[in-house]
Amino acid sequence: MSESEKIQTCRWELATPDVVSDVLDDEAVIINLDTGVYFQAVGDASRIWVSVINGADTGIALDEGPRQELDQFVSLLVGHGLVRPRSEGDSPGTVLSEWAVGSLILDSHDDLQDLLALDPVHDVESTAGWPQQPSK
Amino acid sequence: MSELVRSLTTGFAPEVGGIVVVDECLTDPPLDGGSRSIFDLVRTCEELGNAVDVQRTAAEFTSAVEDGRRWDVAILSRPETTLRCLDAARRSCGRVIYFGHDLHHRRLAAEAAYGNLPPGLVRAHLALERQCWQRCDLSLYPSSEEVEAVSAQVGSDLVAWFPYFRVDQVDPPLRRDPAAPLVFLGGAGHLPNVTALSWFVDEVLPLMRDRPPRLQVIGNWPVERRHVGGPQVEWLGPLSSEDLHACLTAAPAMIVPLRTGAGLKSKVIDALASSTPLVTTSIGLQGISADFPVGWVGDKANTWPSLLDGVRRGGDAVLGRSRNGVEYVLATHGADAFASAVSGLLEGNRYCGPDE
Repeated sequence: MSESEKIQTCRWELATPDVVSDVLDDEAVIINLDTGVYFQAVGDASRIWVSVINGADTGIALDEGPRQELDQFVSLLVGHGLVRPRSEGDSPGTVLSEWAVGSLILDSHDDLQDLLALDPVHDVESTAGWPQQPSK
Repeated sequence: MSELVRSLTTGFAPEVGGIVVVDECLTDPPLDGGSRSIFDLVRTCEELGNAVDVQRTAAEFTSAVEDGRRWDVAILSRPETTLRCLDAARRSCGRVIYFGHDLHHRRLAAEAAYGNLPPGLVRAHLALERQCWQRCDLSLYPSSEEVEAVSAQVGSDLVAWFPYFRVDQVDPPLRRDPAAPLVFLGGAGHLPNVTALSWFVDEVLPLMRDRPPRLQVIGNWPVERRHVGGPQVEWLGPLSSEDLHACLTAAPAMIVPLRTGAGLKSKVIDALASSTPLVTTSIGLQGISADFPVGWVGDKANTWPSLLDGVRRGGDAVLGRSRNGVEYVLATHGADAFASAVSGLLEGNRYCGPDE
């Protein structure tokens, strides 16, 4: 996606099928199956994540501080390939959730990269055993 | 590739209708319980008159969908594969079924307690599995405990029990040579097997120094991982089904000392079908109805020597439990019971056009 498209896009959706997300308690768990990177967004960030992938308008008028924080958060989501522009024909999404300034944090964990791309118990090298992965 | 899979992947299935099974971890011939359950499912579907396509990659499946292929039922195996295929399956199949095998996050949580896995992995797998349960029309599991656990999260309409393994032949219970080796079935490629064998060798065998049993380990154990064994252990490697059957029918007992793991174990079904007495932890009997006392269960190491002594001596009680095991596998996993479960699964599912 070009920079101009990124700027103009205000409604997003989950980048399925390569990205999977679920909310467990107060935490959004986001997994990029292609890269094996696992992300966490907790509390307000989790609620913002959910409203973003449900099509909330991220271009709404905001004060400068919140505007900057939201743009940075959305840029991270786009940069990691977690969301894509919402299809034009889709119905309008939800309203953007509120958040406390400073709370839009997206943690990423790449220590699972090798393991998440596999079923770590079944998909191992059959002659070498755990934790050797099958040769590709 | 076996004749079975070759015929399925290059068959003459119609453009609309039939069943598609997607499993990216399928080994041919089946080397693990998961692959065996898929083979049992596919051949039974075929015997019931259904055309079945087996797709070995998600990309292969989505490409067929792009080419206009449509099926009555999609059966998707393993969480990651299921989630990669779901959008395409929704467009192309009348009903989408997630073939769960076991609760990965539970199995991984148990392994994480041994310090073998990064902690975030359990949560990530729970998220993957929850998405499968929520977004498929039905999820299948081989034990009532797993069905209840999923039902508690997403409701009982979205999850059902399925027998998973099919048994075509059983052996009558017979008295066995108490001096013959015990058997342990499972390779080092399945992490719970490593934990299990280590526990047995480190915790149980030292309690039997005055009467050490011989033990045959069946499955892939690379030399550098055999340090978990001891002088009583004989490493047989992977065996043909005929040789495996011979070992099972000669052994005075199969040991299943699993400390971790989840769901129904194919090795346990094999032991029950061959009337081989079982000495196991309670984890080994997951998925077996408590209404059928089929094995000798101990979760603490100090209970195992007397269990092994008793089972090796044989006797009417041991034969009785072996008989229970045979009755159980015939009633639950026998060819007729399995075909009935598959029929029920497929009944009334027809592709009627794309999802709205």
